[in-house]
Amino acid sequence: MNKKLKNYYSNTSMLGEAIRTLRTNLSFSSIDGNMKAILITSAEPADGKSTVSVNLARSMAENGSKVLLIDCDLRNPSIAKVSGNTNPRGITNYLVRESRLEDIIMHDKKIPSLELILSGTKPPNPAELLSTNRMKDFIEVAKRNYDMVILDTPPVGILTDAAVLSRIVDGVVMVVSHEKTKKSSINDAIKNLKNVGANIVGMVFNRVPVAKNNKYGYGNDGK
Amino acid sequence: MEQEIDLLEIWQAIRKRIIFILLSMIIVGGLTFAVNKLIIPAKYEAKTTMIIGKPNDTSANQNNIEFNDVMVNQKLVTTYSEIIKSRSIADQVIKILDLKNFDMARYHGMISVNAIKDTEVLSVSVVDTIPARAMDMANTTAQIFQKEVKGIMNIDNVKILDEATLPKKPVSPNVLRNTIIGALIAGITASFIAVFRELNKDTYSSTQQLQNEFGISVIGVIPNVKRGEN
Repeated sequence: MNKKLKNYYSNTSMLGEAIRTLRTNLSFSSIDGNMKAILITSAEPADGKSTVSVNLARSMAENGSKVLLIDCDLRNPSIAKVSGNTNPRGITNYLVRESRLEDIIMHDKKIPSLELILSGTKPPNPAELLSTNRMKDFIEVAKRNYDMVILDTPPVGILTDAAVLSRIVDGVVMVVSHEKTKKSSINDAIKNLKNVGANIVGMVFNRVPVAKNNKYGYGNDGK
Repeated sequence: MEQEIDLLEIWQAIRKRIIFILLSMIIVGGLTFAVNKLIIPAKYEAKTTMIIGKPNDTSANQNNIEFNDVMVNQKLVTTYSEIIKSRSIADQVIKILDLKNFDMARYHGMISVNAIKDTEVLSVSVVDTIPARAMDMANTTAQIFQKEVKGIMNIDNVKILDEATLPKKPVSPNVLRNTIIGALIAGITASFIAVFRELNKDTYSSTQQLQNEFGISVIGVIPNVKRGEN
């Protein structure tokens, strides 16, 4: 995409195109449809996980898939802010048996066919809550009822939340921010994920300056 | 970790920090300019030229200059150069011009005698911070030398071709040249820093870099749009 052409494409349509490509690539990595629950994480805070999660979930829902997006970042939830949905109750309230599923599952304001669950009341023990059997069972049920379950999680660097969750999903997608995320953080994140046997599907390169976006493609395996 | 350095990457590193590079050039160039203009004293050069000719005798063949004479005179030029540098001439010049705080060394540091190769011409130039003093020193040196030669060599064969005039433009420092050099050095240094930082950074600016580093495929490249805008 050269500079002249840039004027004819709004950023938003480029974003939509990028998200569609991500969606397509994800469906390719799902051999015989075993990729039903994915977890979106990053190596560092503020790499843009939630924005990617919301956009990806909406794109899939628009495409006719039945999608459930869950905000599992119980420490610093941002799905509500990014998507413009509010609900004081969320996944934590369900996990501690305060709320029933029908109270916490809501429809996205923008794309009503997308269903989502916010984080709910802030708990003192996020990692413990997420590692309960109740959570695991819930994801299993969700996988049967939806085409795709997307979990937005805290960064995988220092916290164990994402690593815990990675064991109950089918694949992990790591968001890396252009010229921001450090090599050492990514290395730590990958190590943490591999330690718990997570299946890293791929990386999403986020916040790439528009001018650089012309180099798409999947890269080559030539090392 | 093997690292490929390609020209494109270097070019991009320079382009990315072009503001920083230009700023360093402007700042260093400006500083060099200021130092040269305001701090380093300007120096002026006054120059007088002399010719070593035949003595003004009533020789029969005035018009017939012998090749031998020319050869001899060229040899003389070298001798005369040394005479000019002699203590007696230095002392006299210092005395006549009443140069305060001057000694031999200082005088010699300012004066230079050049014998122009293969000619009979000799030039004396003086570089000084005060233009008028430079002119006076050059002229006085030439005059005293002329007188001295008569006494030493018993011939009067030195003619002053050009008197030193009052220099108007300083010969040093060369403000323009130094400013350009300063700016260039700054630009090159800043470019090196830019490239160095680019090659040593531990973040990623291309999908390729990311894939090569971790061996995990990049399945999405999201353009930079503000949060919540879609």
